[in-house]
Amino acid sequence: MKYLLIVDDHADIRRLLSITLGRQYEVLEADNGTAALEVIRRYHPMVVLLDVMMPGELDGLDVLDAIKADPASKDTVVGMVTARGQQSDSDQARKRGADAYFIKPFSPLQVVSWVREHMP
Amino acid sequence: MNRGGAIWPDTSSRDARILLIVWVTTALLLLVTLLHVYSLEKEDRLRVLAAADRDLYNLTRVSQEHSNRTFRSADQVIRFVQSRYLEVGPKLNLADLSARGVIDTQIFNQVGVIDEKGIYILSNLPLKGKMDLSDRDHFKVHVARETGEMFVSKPVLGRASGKWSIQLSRRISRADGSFAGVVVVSIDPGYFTRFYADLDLGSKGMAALYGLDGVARARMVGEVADFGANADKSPIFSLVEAGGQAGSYTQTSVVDGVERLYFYRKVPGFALVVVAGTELRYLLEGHVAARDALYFQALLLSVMILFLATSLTYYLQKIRKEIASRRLAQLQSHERSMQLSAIFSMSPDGFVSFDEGRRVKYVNPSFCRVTDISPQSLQGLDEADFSARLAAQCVSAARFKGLGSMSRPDLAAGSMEVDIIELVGTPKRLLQVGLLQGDTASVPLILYFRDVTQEIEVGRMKSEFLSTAAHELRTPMASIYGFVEIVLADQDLSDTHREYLEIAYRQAQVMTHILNDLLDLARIEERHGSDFRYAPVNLQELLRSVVHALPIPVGRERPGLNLSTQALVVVADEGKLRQVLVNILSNAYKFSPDGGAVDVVLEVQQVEGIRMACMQVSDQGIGMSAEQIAQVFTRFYRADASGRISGTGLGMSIVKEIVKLHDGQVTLASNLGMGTQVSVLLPLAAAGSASEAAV
Repeated sequence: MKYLLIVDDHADIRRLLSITLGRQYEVLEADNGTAALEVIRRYHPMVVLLDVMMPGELDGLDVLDAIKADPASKDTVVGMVTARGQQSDSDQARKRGADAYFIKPFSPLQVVSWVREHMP
Repeated sequence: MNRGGAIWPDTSSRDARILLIVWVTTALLLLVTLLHVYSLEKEDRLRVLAAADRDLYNLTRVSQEHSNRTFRSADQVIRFVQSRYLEVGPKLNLADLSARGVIDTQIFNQVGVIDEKGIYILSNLPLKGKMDLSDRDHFKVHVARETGEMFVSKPVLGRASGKWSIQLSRRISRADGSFAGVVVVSIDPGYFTRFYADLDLGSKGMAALYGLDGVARARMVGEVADFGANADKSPIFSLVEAGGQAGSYTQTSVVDGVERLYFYRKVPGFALVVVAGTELRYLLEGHVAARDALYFQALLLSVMILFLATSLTYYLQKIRKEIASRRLAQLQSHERSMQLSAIFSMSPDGFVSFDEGRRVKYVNPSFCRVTDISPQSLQGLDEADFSARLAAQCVSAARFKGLGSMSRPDLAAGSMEVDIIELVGTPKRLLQVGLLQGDTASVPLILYFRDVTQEIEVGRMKSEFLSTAAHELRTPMASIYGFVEIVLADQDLSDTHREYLEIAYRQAQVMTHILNDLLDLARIEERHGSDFRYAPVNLQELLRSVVHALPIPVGRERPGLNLSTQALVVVADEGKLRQVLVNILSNAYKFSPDGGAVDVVLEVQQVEGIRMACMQVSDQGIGMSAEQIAQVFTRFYRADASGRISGTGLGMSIVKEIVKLHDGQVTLASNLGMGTQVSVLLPLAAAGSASEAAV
């Protein structure tokens, strides 16, 4: 099974992404960083769409670091979906291993086409 | 302000006392000088007079002896003739005696005998006829009786000789005592005066031989000799009568009006007195010269004393004035420092000043209140102790690093080095610390503390708010935008619903742009370019890349490039510069809806003597009126009032802010319907940076 994980504390955003992607992929959801890492450990999703600013112990960048640090998950494709719009933010995320950087508000159709590139 | 009076007591009464002492001393010195001169003069005068007295004593002694011997030898002659006459009678040959030298005719003019009837019967000189001398004193005095003494007559002018003479006579008494006649010797009184002329008595001296009858036998006053003058007014006679044998006195002469010192001496055995006098002025000549010299010296001394006293007075007054003006200046500076300390004590900012030894000199109340350090515990601390004391009040993350780290020798006087420290305790307190290098030696360092908690907190809250707002606005926008996009993708949508949703979708896009631009602008303003990453940027390369990546509206040409062949390099944040060019170029397309070429020119321009890179974007669009140009940098101003052209109204504001932070200028030239030219001028990098960029 090819899994796709959506991590965001906002249920509306998770729903927006899941209704566009859910038709083609098996979609998993998590509303905080700790839960996201648990899901990744258990289901090994191919692609993770990751919010940066989330309540809880781990924010999106921490989760990104954890994914890239673990040999079991380091090949996971990560797309950041965030409200942080600065060039410096996206630069930093790419440096830490993110494959794409979507700034909110984003085009769901663009996200779908990007995911399709990585999950045929 | 009574403190001023207490600190500076009035000294004018003391000064007056000093002046009084100076002048009393001066008066005393002058008095002592005067008395000393007087006593010296008197002493000298007495010494001179005593010497003169001694001289006159000796001279009168000589004169007395001379008179005495003269009269004694005359008496011998008289006694010899007397005894010979008694032996031989009128046959006595006096001329023969004279010729044989028994009678000295050098002294005695004439020697003769008068008989008892008064007839001059014998003479050493030839007699011319019968001469009756019975009426003469020197005859008459002997007639009655034997006196036993030689008679000395007053000088008489001789009837026969026509010369002055003094007659000396003795009675010739027979064995029975009867009167037999008189022996007479005439003596020339000039014999005495010639002797007096030989005495050194000075030019106006005098010498005389007086009879106790008050008649001068011979007298020499100055160069003038006279005989027979009445001198009974002279004090000599009363002195002799009182028993005086010799003595001196001072008197102004009745003869010639000259004041003299006289010395008299009685001639023993005769009723005669000799006297010698010297002019006082002559006597005192040396004394007067010495006295005048003394007076002159005394005068000089007095003048010097007076000069000293006057100078002293002058300088005392001058010093007093100087002290007064210095005191005034000190008073003024004292008042000024009181004023300053009043100002410092009222200031809401903290101040700590250090003295020349770099020890704490002054701490104002605000500093103590803000830092909770008591002023007593700081007084006199040196730099290191003070820094440690203040650092102890700070949290470790923002500790006071100490004066040493702040004061730098290269720091110009009056300039300030600034640091921020955070104090321990709640609420959080942040202090800005400034170090002011004073330009005077007495106040070399002043530390300045301002409570900037609020300012910094406000800044922090503003950026926190911006970041929160971004998150909180972007997320709901993402839902609106995203869901509308999904619905629009539905093929079964009615045309009307599709049209409505497309409007909503477009407006959501506009809102996103506004949000992005606002956040950009706010961030630039907040950071003042502090987060810009400056590096040399080659403008040719930048323009080519921007034009290449620019989204071009359907049916339009890419901008034409006319770039300077010379490599133009500026120091800039490339990303921001890219934003500037994208904003200007997208405006060029937006505001030329009817098409036409968009051109980009890069060239060098001289602006006020500085070489600047000029990037110019021109379009053939709708252009702007002068009013519109004036408004173009106003936020949310949109040149297109119709709403047909989308935009946020913030693009040019962002352009202006970014260019301003690069020390550049944005200018705009346009006319309605004639297109628009936007020029961005940026200072060219120095040659070093340019070659760096070329590598």
